Amino acid sequence: MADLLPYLIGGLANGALYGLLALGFVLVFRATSVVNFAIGEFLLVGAYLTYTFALLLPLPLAILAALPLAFLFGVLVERGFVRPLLGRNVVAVIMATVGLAAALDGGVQLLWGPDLKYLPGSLPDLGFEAGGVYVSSRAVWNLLLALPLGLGLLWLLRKSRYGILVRAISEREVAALALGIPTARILAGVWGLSALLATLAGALLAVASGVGYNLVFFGLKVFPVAILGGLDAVGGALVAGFLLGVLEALSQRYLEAYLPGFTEALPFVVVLLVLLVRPYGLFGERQIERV
Amino acid sequence: MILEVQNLHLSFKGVKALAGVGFSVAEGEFFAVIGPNGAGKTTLLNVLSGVYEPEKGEVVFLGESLRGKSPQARARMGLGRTFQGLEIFRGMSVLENVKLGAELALPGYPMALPRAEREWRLRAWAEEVLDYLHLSPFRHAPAGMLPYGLQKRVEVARALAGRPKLLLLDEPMAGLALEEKQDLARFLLDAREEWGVTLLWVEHDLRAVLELSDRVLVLSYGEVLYYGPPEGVKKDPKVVEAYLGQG
Repeated sequence: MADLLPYLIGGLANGALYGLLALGFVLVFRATSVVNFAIGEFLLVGAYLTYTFALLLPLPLAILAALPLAFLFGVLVERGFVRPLLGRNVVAVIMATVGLAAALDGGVQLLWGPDLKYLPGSLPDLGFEAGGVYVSSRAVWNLLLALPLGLGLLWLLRKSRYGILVRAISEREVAALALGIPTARILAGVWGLSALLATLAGALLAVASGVGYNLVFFGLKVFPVAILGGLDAVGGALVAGFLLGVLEALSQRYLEAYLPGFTEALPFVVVLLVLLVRPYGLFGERQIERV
Repeated sequence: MILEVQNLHLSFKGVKALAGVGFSVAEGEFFAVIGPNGAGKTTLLNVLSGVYEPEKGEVVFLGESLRGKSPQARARMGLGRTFQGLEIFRGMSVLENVKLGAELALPGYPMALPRAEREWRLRAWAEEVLDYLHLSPFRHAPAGMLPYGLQKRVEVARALAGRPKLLLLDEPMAGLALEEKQDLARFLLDAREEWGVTLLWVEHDLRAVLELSDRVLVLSYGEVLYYGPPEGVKKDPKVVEAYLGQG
């Protein structure tokens, strides 16, 4: 059992980042019905932004500096790619995000080069040992940043005026317009928040293992996480993130010896199994569609 | 005149939805728009509230042209609206619905007041509206869980909470039982009396229209068939042929 704990801690550390990323992804989906296929690239861009700032600033400041820029990036994506397609079929917007993903993939490599880069400097070491189990600094940082941010955002969406406006728009956009709610500005903010969350996840990944194109593959995990939690369940995204992180860790510990490589496929297998029983995800709302 | 509409034209894929519609609404009036299905009634409301921009023609509200103004800008000018079917926020409580509507009634919407005062004034005014429409007992109920008639009333309450100068109502009585219709009619007449709201409603219930409205506009295929007092509607041969004759 004792040898399992480090795996679990590692799983929670990864899960925190899955949760952050999925939270932003689901937020955009709920508010705008757009599936953002460029979410992995949001993370990638965020990681490279952090890297660039880290060349000039101490790492904690670099991360702090990257976040507002990431928010702006999200807002610009909404202005440039999403809003012009407003009122069209939602598939058109989704395809635009696919195109955006490809453009960002290329753009990032063009700007920063294809090789793996390591951040200069590191975050203060918060690792500690408790009862013979070592908790890595990475795990502490991930949980310390992701949990309050994730929970704070959930609270904001539930209780604050901004959250109520987002819910109003996501539920009945025409009614929101008729009430004078500045829908465009609020939806741009949602994209900004989503990019900010992805950037924090990207920055923490970059701190742990460097910046390279392969970060996109981490971003791909957002799809099983979000579907597992329920595409319209913002809180579910956070929970599902941790759940998949831990399941991956368990698979790493117990299955990898017999089924090499299975851990990579695990999230998708879990999603398939869960969807058989709960087609709207663990926390998703059952939609009654009238035809 | 609070609203002047001149020569509106709008077509969708070659089909004329509005073909030269013009009329005006006086302040404090209860103005009805009727017509058979597909006559262009909802399209007209959508043009007035800014969902569609007309190809030709002009809408003047409070002496100001609405051309190019967003739906939100029109709402802030005092143009309220309810929808055909239901467009309430089902996941929110009745109170939250009405408070969102009430934001329009605050001076300097949205953020000019300190937070606590804004909250207090929104709540106080929302409660007043709820009380007025006999919705207070349901204030904390999720709006989507209420019976249909009450949901309709929540939508009217949300629109009235914004203190519109002109309220556009799209078939507010559709699907209501007779008693609910009578209640709604009374609420609307009282709101006009108490808050000075001018009412423009699209409605299928001809009896209610003729009984309540000051003036009536009859549309058919996007054109004005009749425009005048309710007493004349049933006597107009064109209306009888296009509209009453069917039913």
